[in-house]
Amino acid sequence: MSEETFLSDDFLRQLIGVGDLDLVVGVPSYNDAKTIVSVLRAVEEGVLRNFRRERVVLLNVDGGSGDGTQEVLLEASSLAKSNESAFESLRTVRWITTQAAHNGSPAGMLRTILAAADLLHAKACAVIAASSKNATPAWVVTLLEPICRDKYDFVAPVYSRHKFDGLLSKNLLYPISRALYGKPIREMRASEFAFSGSLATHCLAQQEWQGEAFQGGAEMWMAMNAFTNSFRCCQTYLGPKPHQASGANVVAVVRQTVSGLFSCMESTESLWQAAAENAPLHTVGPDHDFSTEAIRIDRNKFLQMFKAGANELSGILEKLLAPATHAELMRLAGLDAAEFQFANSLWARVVYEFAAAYHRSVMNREHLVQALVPLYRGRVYSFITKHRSSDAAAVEADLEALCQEFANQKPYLVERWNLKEEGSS
Amino acid sequence: MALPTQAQWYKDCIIYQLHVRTYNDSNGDGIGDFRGLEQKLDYIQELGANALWLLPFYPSPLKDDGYDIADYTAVHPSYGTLDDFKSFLSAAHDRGIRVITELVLNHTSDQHPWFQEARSSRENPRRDWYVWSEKDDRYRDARIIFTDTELSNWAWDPVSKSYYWHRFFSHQPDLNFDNPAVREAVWNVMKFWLEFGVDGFRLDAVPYLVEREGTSCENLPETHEILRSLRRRLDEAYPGKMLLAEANQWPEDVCAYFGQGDEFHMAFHFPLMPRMFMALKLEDRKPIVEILHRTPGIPESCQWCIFLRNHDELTLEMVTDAERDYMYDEYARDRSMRLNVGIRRRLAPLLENDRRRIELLHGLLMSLPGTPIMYYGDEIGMGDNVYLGDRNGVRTPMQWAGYWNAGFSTADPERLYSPLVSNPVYGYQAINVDSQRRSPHSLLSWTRRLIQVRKSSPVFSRGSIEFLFPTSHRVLAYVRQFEGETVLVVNNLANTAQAVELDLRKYNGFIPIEMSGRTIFPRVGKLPYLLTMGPYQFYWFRLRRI
Repeated sequence: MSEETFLSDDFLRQLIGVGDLDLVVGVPSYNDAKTIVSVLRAVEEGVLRNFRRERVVLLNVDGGSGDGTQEVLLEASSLAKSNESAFESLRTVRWITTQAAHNGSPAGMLRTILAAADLLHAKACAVIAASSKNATPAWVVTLLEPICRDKYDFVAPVYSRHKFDGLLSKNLLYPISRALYGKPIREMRASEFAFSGSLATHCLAQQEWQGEAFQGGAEMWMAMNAFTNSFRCCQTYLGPKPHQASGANVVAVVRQTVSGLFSCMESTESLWQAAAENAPLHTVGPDHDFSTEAIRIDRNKFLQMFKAGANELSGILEKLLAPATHAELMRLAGLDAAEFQFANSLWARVVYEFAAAYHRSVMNREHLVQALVPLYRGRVYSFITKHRSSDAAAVEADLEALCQEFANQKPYLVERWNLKEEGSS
Repeated sequence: MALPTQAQWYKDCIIYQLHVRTYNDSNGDGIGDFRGLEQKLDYIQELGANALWLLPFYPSPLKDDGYDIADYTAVHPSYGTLDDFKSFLSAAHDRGIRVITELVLNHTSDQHPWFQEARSSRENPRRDWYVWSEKDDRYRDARIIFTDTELSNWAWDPVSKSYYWHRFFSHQPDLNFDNPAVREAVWNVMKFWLEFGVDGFRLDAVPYLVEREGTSCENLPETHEILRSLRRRLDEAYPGKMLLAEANQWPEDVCAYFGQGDEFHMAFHFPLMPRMFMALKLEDRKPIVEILHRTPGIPESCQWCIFLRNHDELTLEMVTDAERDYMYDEYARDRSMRLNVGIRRRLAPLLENDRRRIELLHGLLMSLPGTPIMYYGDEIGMGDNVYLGDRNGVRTPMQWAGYWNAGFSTADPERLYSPLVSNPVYGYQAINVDSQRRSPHSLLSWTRRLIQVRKSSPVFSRGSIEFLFPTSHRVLAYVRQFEGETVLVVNNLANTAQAVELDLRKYNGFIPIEMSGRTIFPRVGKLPYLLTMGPYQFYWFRLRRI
């Protein structure tokens, strides 16, 4: 039986036209007509300034935009061909665009980029989202240089964010990747990252493209693939990341992220269950600070949703959690705002118990993950309230304490996780 | 016997460039001469060349390989006599081969009687035949051309105790073209050789004839007026002769030397040459397409001359800094290969003796618009010797055979004007005309056939060019057209096989016929025309509607 091919004939034809090359810069897009051209121009400038002799393609992979993103791009690229660039290029720099595989899902976008990098034998590939309106030419070299020059396989970004931005990474992904894998990667769900050709080939060969692990966050999946398979990883400072209000997408984002995280944990359990030394991750670039960009967050709404969710889902939470944990949560749900504090220790315990329950398939996994959402909201409320007036050092110290808590409770996770094998709940 | 005057004959030429000294020694003194060259005219005719460009053969101290002329109207005794030249010229014309000689206008040797007189005293009538100054601070904006050896464009003359102007070596003082006597003297020199029957002149270093304060002293309007004047006199007195400009400038500046068709007939396209090498290394058509798109149109009676290599270094003056760095890194990593602003290597060593790349570049030379010039020895893949100093490494004796002195001379090897190339790869035992004549598959045989194919259609010499832009930038494709005839040229610049789809809808219904083997290819339809090409392969297709 022939394997389903996910590359369209038109895209394949474009790849044939490009031929073997050194670098791919993938620019995934979805309804980014307003920003894609400026992002691509910044990328092109970065390439022309810093990789003048390399063979490069700028690859837009579109997730089925309805706002004319691809059309805008095609018009801009044909104008670019006819106008002289301010930057001299020895070679033809190609812009190509295609629809993402798998109906334009994020997984499909990344898979398409990986396929291009693999087929064209690229040495390195950077991914920069078309929505990143603050993308600069320097991003290209900052992402690609660790791979081209220092032979890293995966480069994760570090941003200057507002202290209340990227809370899912701060409160969940960062502490858990540190605790379980010894990899203190700050941004596991970043829209900018880079990888080597060999990592691309490795990831492309994985079977999980339709699975939960991948659907949960392509970037996170790729990062975890990198550091759980002994690829060399590092971080690089990209500068400020403007806040993008996720609003109503919080549920979807948390669901996807947590599903992906727990699935990855399942597939790598032998790795994280062994002791993981917390090795420092090489970070390129200056020490970063939190951005001072003002953002608006309705934290009271988070508390309301936590309370409502905890009460409505009490029966489900009782099945998922240890009795002490459940009791603590219900007590928390009854507190006034002034007294509310979702401690690091409780949060770590909640996450681990959910992970173990997911692994044991205590209930439908989608519903299970959905049940974590209001608890996450409670955690967010607590974090924001605690650090309303904190400076960067204080926030950083708290994050460090959180990571320590996750690390300390790792044996507890192992114990809960393995309950299934012992046939008891 | 002069060849019949054919309109714009220079457009249909295949020019073969050589130095008499390097080609064939008839008298056993170790130096090539005109009698020896005459003996080899059959070979040149067999190759397919129908014009010869001879490097300077005039009396000279030979400090710049003859470009330092001490007598414009004689033959250097090492190369023979004026009678020998006359005999050679007649024999060349008998074989349908035109002869283009050098006219080094800009400067003379400091041993030339004109300069000897000029420097003898400030009152000498020829004093003003050269450019003198009390100080060396005039014309500051003029660049130094021979950057490896010269620190200034002024040199101190201890005889007349003043400075003289020289754009090239200090032993080559510039003539003063503001002086009418100089202009008249130059015309008399031209007349001298035209009376013999030479078919044209390559005018050396023409951009630098006139100096003006506050300018770069290159391409000045006064220079063009002097050249137009020479052309007028030439057309009037000797119609059908040709002037070829050596102006190492950007295309838009070289175009000025065509005037309105009233200045030079031909000019070298210097900027194209390094870009062919660059395109090959980059595996990208961009450098070639861009420079040709940048090249303005020229008068109908005029023609570009294109070339791969010549007697000088592969000049990198007309490229950007980034391009120059790239060329040095890719083609001349060993600094001993670099000279002035260029690379002093022959074609085959530059291409690492890769037969496929040598063929591809020859294919470009013969199919891009312009009159092609082949440098002697490139047709057999001769090598070089970068350790001979200056540019002498690309001016070694022609390799005729695998025996004594490569068949070039009967002299003792130590007496040769230059050592032979003798390493196992490029040495005369391995690379020589005799061996290659025996094989129908040798580079020599292949080059002969290529020239035959080129000459089979006027499209190549006189046609237009329209580039195609297949998605693969590794493929350089273009269509040449002339008087109803259409030729499609497709070149794979890459080291890897390529599948290329060409948009040939304009030629829907035409049948491509590959020109060297006359093989018929599938008819062109409305869909993209698919070709698969091996590494460095090229095709010439005549598109016929039958």
